[in-house]
Amino acid sequence: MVTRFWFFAFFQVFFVSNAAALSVFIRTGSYQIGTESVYKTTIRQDSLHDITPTPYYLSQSTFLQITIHNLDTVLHELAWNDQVSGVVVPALGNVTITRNITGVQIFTLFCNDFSGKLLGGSFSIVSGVPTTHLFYWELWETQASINAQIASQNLISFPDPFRPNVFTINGTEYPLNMNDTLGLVQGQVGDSIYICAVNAGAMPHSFHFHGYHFKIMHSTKLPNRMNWEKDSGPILQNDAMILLLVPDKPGAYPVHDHNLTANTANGGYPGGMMTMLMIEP
Amino acid sequence: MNGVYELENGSSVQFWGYGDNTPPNPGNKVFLPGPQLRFKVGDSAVVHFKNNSPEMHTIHFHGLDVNQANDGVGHTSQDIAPNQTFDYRFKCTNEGTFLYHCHVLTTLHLAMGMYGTVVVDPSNGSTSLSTGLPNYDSEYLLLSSEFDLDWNTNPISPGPFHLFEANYSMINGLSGTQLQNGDHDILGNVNSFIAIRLANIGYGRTKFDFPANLTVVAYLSDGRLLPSPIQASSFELYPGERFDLLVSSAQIIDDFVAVSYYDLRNDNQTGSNFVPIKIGNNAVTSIDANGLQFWPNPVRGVLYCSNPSNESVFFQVYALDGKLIQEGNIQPGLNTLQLELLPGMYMMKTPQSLLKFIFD
Repeated sequence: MVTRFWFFAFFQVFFVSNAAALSVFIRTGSYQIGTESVYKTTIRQDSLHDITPTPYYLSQSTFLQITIHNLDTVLHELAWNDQVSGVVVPALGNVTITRNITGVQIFTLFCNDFSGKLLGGSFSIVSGVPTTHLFYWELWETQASINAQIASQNLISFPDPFRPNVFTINGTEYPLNMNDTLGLVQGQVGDSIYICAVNAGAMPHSFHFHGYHFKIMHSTKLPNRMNWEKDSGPILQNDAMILLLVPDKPGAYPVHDHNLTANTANGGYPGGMMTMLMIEP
Repeated sequence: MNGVYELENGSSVQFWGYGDNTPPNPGNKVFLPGPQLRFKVGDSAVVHFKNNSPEMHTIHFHGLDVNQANDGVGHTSQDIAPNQTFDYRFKCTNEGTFLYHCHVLTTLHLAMGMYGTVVVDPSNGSTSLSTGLPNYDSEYLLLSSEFDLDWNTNPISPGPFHLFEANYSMINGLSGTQLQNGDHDILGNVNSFIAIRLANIGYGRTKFDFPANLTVVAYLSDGRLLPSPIQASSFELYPGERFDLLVSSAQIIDDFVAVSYYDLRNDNQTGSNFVPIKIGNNAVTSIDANGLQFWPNPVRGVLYCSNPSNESVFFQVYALDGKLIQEGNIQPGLNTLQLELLPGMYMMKTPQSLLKFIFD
């Protein structure tokens, strides 16, 4: 029995412990999104990053060491999508954490402090998903009229009523996000297209696919929906989902939040949380 | 086209909707929700659309996975201009419950009422949710939606679209006491299956809570079989979702399905509705204001009726499209009404009531 145990332990260490190190940077900056200038907290792989997400892809099980640098002058608390408590990263400081990354899923660090949460800070490690046709959506919304108050830490409780007017995928609104190759879904009939949908906002978003059904491959918040085939469904706050789309026909189809108040940009339609599925024959 | 919607309090607001020109409906009348479209798997559907309104409109067939030309989205297919026509064509490939709605200036047009449902039945004509599932004895569809009544009052300039406020909650276009007049009850018998199709076309989350002593099992969602059936006493639907259920009970139930509506922005509850559900024992399923008792429901050839008065009562049987099928008199005492009908749902009209029944 003892021999078996040691053999099993050795097997695990030998085959699972590909090790890697990664640095990410938290920064809250001001961005022009449509007609509104708003603050957003971002967590990206480069220190001079813009608003576009920079997910980290791993194809095999890896023991990952992540050093988180906080470029803001306020502390941030981060928590994994599958955990409640998190780690505090001091202002202008850094911490190093580790996580065993394995399976077909998304490991997402969300800002868990009040302002960072409302400003949509998130960073994802995408595990075990083929990268040939892989797309990524970081969903985030804000209410421009109180956004600066949130960024300056002058708002101390969740706004009620909360009436967001800026709805983004990867920090941009439709139709400007047609230039976002990370979020604009492109492929061919028969491709296995994976879409990582991460909700960094403060409200659920219910996405509807025109033209196709998708299959839920992973969800942190709704694990009972694994393998469901849907054309519409929620992406809950702080959920990180992997959706599989295998197109059976060519076409240019919208994919958008079916809470149609979020399919708007500063109150105008169409805009906000919408992008396109561009499928070639 | 524009229609006039009567609110629960008796006042009226404007809505925009779809109509059909199937007799006896006049071509200029619209409904909330729009007429239900029904097909079978394998059908090649053609929906003739004529835009009688002064605005651009389309029909988007939500969940039916139609090709791009028939998707009903202006910038990828085409808007249908006033007085123009278009034939939408698609193949029905999967059983289930689907939606249709206008996809022009969608936040406004959908909120104004331009939506309806599509049901696709099995190709073999069985009364089941999907081939291989048990047959159901009766079937109901609960479509949740909301109005922002300020928009219905002033749809020309409703304000920024992100400020939609759900302040009038509906099931099948009805609200509050409108659902309590007996015409909208979910009826069934013990130890038989009732199909209930849930759909949410609103902008918030809708929660359907069923009576605890009812067995409720979901088999399909969004027109696809679930990997395994889900038994639960409540179901939450986010915008655009559908669930197809079979419900049954071994005991008599006189209760309601509670429907709660929540704003996604803050999870505040914005409304509620209650749909009566009555599971009978096959003895007496309906009693009208004169004390007439009818049974059973579903009807298999013979409908029994007890008339406690000393006078005969005139009755008429209508198909759901309004066509008069049969009429006669119910005599004092016990009556055996021999009905010669095709299988389907019918209305029994007496001077005091309008009762819905299924002829099996």
